[in-house]
Amino acid sequence: MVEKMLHDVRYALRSMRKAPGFAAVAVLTLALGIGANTAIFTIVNAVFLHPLPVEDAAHLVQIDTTDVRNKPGAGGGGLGVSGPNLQDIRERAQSFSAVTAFTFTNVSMTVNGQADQYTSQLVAGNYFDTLGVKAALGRSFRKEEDAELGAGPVVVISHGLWERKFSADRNVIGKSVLLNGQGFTVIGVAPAGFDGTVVLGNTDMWTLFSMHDVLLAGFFKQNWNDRRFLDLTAVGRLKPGATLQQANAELGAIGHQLEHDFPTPNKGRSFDARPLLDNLIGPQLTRAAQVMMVVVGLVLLIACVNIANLLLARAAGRKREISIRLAVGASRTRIIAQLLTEAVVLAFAGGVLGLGLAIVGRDLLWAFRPPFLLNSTLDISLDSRVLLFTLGISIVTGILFGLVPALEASRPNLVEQLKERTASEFSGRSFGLRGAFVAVEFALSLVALIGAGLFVLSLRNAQQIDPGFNTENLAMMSFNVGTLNYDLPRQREFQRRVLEVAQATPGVKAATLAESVPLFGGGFARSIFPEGQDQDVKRSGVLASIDAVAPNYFSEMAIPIVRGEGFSDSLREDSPKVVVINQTAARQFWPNQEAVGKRFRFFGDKDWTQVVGVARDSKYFTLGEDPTPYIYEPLIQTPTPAVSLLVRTQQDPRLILNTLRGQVQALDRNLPLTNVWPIGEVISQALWGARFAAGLLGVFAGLAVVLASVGIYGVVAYSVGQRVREIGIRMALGARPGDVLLMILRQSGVALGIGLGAGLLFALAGARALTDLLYGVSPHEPLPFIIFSLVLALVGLVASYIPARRATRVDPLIALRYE
Amino acid sequence: MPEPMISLRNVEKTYKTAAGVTYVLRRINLDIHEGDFLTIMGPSGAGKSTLLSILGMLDDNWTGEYFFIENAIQKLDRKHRADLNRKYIGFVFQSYHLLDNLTVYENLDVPLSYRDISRKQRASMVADILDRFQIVGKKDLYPNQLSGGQQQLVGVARAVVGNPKLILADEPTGNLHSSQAKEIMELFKRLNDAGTTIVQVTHSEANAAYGNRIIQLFDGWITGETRAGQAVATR
Repeated sequence: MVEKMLHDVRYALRSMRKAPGFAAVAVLTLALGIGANTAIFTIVNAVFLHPLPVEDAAHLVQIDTTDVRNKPGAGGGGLGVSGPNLQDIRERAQSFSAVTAFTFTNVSMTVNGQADQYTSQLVAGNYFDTLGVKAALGRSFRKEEDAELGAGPVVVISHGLWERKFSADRNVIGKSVLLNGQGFTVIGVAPAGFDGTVVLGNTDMWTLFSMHDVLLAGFFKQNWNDRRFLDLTAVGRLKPGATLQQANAELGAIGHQLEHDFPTPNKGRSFDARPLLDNLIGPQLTRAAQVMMVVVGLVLLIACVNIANLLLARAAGRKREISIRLAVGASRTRIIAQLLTEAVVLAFAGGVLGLGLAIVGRDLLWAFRPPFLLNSTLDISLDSRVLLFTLGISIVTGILFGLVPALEASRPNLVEQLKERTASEFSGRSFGLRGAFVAVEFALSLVALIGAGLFVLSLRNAQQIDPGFNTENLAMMSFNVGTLNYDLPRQREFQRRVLEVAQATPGVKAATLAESVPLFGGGFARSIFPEGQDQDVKRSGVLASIDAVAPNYFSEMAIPIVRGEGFSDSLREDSPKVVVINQTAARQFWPNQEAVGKRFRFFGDKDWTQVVGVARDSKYFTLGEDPTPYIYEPLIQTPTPAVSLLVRTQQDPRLILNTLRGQVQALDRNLPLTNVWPIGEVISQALWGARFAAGLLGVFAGLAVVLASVGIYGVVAYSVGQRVREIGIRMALGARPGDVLLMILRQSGVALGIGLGAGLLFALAGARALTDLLYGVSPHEPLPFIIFSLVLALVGLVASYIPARRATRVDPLIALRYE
Repeated sequence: MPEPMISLRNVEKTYKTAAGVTYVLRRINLDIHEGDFLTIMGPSGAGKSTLLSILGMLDDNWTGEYFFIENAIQKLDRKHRADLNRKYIGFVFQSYHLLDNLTVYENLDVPLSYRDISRKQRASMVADILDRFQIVGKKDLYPNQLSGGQQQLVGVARAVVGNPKLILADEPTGNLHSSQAKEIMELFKRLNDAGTTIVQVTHSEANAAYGNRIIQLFDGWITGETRAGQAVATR
C-alpha cells in the first residue's frame, strides 16, 4: 500500500517535471487560493480560535445586569454590574468558586520624568487568582492589597508594556512609577499574550479597585459606590459540578432579592450569566470573519475548478497512456488512485507556496489593522493549527479538483471509444463537463463580486453619511487633569486656560470643549426619569448617552439648535440644571409634545433638570448607527476632568496641531495630551471596518474574476484545439469566420449564462447574511447584481473571444489533410 | 464553344523548405466547362488534392490566374473567394467528414446554415435532399450509427444540398468497398447528367470511367489528358 503510494508520488513528481508549464500554472493558481485562505485563517485563528490564556476557560462566565427598560447594546455586549451589587453577588452566590470584576480606565504614568497615557484594567484583588493566571515575572495581587481604600499602590504591567517601556528589564520588579501622580510599585509582569478576558483589547497594566480614588476621576469616581452605576464587567468561575442553569437560577433569585432590598436603584434589574467564551467577540465581527472565510473559500473553489479543467484537458491528452495501463491490467481504482495522487501532490506544492503567500498576505492584513489594535498582543503566528489547516485544505483541494478528472479519464467505455480512434474529439461532451466547470466558476465569481460590490456601496454610503456636525478643518486633543489630581477649581481654571490658549493660537478660528468627541468612542449613559412618567416603562429609567460640553459647542460644531436655545455663557454652576437634548431624545421621552421646558431627573439626582433646547440629531458612536437619544449637559454644571479640546482651523489642522500641542503642554508639562487628531482621521478610523471589508473583498473578488477568466480562456482554447478538424470542415462547407466565432462564443455563452444565472440565485440567497454588516445598503440592492452580471458576461466573452478568434484562422485545408 | 466555367493559367504552388523551394503544382493550364465530369489521376504526391483545394478556393497560396465563372480569383480577397465557394461549390471528402455530434439531418443543414437562407426554406431543402437520396429514415441517426457507404451518401447529399454548380470530390470512394463505391459513382453520374459539373480525384480507373475527361498529374505537372476515349499529349 505504502509502496504503491510512494510509487504514485514518484510518478506524479515525474509527470510534473515533464509538463513544467502546466505544473507551474496549477501550483501558482492553487497557491493563490490556498494562500488567501491561510492568510485569513491565520487572523481567524488568532482572534477566534486561540484559547483564552486563562485556566479552564470553559468554567468562566460573564455576569451581566438585565434591565427590563434597557436592552443590551447593538454590539451584543451586556450591561455591566455595579460595585455594590457585585459585592452582594459574591457574598450570596453558591454556584461560583470566585467572582471577580474589572473595568478600564486611562491613567497617566510617569517613568523617569516622562508622562504618557496608558490603558489600565482596574481589577478586583482576586482577578488573577480567579482566572488562574500567574505573573510571568514577579507576582500578582494579594488579597489584603484590595481589602481597603488605598491599600494597594501596586501595578502588574503587561508583557508588551514591559518590552516597550522597560526594555524587558527583569529589574523592573520593585521599581516605582507614578500613576496619576501617585507612587505605585511594579510587582509583576503578566504573561506574554495575556490581555485579560478581552480578545481584541489593548491593556497596558492592571491596578486594584482599592486605588480607584487615585485612578478614576469625575463621574466614574463619584459614582463608584453607586448601586445603579453599571461600570464593572463581572466574571465568575463556576464551582466544579455547578452548571450554568444552576448559576442563572441562583443569580435570578439574588437579583430578585436585591431588587426587593434596594428597590430604587435595582428596579426592573436582575442578573444573567453567559459562558465567557461565547461572549468574547461581538456578533458583527464574527459575521465579518465568516463572510471573509466564505469569500476566500470561493476563491479556492474557483482555483480548484480551474485546475480540474486543466487536468481534464490533460487527461484527454493522456488517454492513450491510461488506456494502455488499463489494457495491461490496472484496475480502474488503481488508475483513479494514481491520478488523485498526482492531484494531491500538485495541491501540496500549491500549499507550500501558498503558505509563503499567506505570510505575506497576513503581514499585509496586519499592517492595515485598525488603530485600536496597534499595540495588540494578538498572536498571529503560523501555529500548528494554521499549518494543519493549510495541509488539510491542500489535501481536500487536491481531492476536490482531482476527483472528477480522474473519474472521467478512467471511464472504461471512453477508453473503448478511444481505441477505435473515431472522430470522438468532436464530441460535445468534452465541453459539457468543462462548460459546467466554467459555469461553476462564473457563478462563484459573481457571488464574490456582488458581495464585494455591496461592501463598496456600503463604504460609499458610509462616506456620504452626514455625521451631523461640520468636520471640515476640525481637530481634537484630549487631556485628563484627573490623572494629575487637580481639584475642581484648578480643573475649571485649567480648562478655561486651554480654551484661551487655543483661541489665541494663530490659524485657529474657534475652540470648544466637550467630554466626548462624536464618533471617537467613549462616553457613558445615565438613566432618565421624566417628570410625571414614573410608571412608563418605555420612558422612565431608560438610559441615554450623556456629553458635557462648553456653551459654544453647538455653534462651533455647527450642530443647529432646532427648538429652544443652547447654553448661555451666563450659566452658573449653581443655576438650575439645564440640558439640551437631541431630536431623538425629544421624540422618545416626550412624543408629540414640546420637549423644551420639560423636566426630568437623572438617577440619583434630587434636583430636576430642565430641557432648554433641542439639537439636531447627529452621529455619536458609529456612522451607521440608528438615531440614538443623546443629552448634552453644560460643562460648568457637570464638571469632568477628562475633556477634549476641539479646534476649528483656517487651513488643514495638521499644519498647526504641533504648535497647538506645544501651547497647551506649556500649561502643565506633566499632563499627557492624547488623541491629537484631525477629525478627518477620526472619521476615517470610524470607516476602517467598512473600508477594510470593501478593500479585502474587492481584492479577493478580483482574484476570483481573474481565475475565472483564465478558466474560461483555457477551456475555450482547449475546445478550439480539439475542434480544429470540425472547424476546418465547417469552413470547407462554407462557414465564414464570423460563423465560427459565433459558434465558439455561443458555446461559452451558454456556460456563462448558466453560471451567471446560478450565481445570481446564490448571491440573492447569500446576501441576506450581510444585512447587518452594510451601511444603508439593502443586501438585495439591484445595482451590483446587474452591473457585475454584465461585467462578468463581458469578461467571459472577451476571455473566450481570444481563443475563439484563433479558431477563425483555422486553415480549412487541415480538414482535407486528415485524409 | 462557350466560355469555360473554370480556367487555370500557369497556376503554380510552391513550398519553401530548408532545402529550397519545392514545387507542388507547375504551370497548370486547364479549362473545365459547365457539365464536365473531370477526373484527376496520378500517383501519391502528384498534387491532385492540392489542385482540388485550389479549385475549391480553400487554398490561397498559389500564383498564376484562375477564372471561375468570369471571376478572376487571384484578384479576390479571402472573403470573396469564400462567398464564391459557398455559392457554387460542394465538397465530398474521402473520410466523409460528417460532424459526429450532429444527426444526419443536422449535418445536411450545416452548409445551408452558412448561407443566407431562412430556417423554413432550409428545412424544406433538407427534406428534399433526404427524399432524393432516400435517407429520410436515417435523418435522426448519428454518423457512427451508419455504414461507410451510408455516411458517404450523406456526404454527397451534404455537398449537393445547396444546389452547387460544381462538386469537388476527393477520393470519394477511397474508404468504401466496391458495391458501395459503385452506388456513389452512379449517384455522381446522375448529378452530372442533371447538369452539375464534377471534378473528382481518384486512383480508380473504374471510377474515372464515369467521367468524360481524365487528366494525369505527375510531380505537379499535367502530363496528359484523355477525353472520352482519346489521349492528347500535352508535354
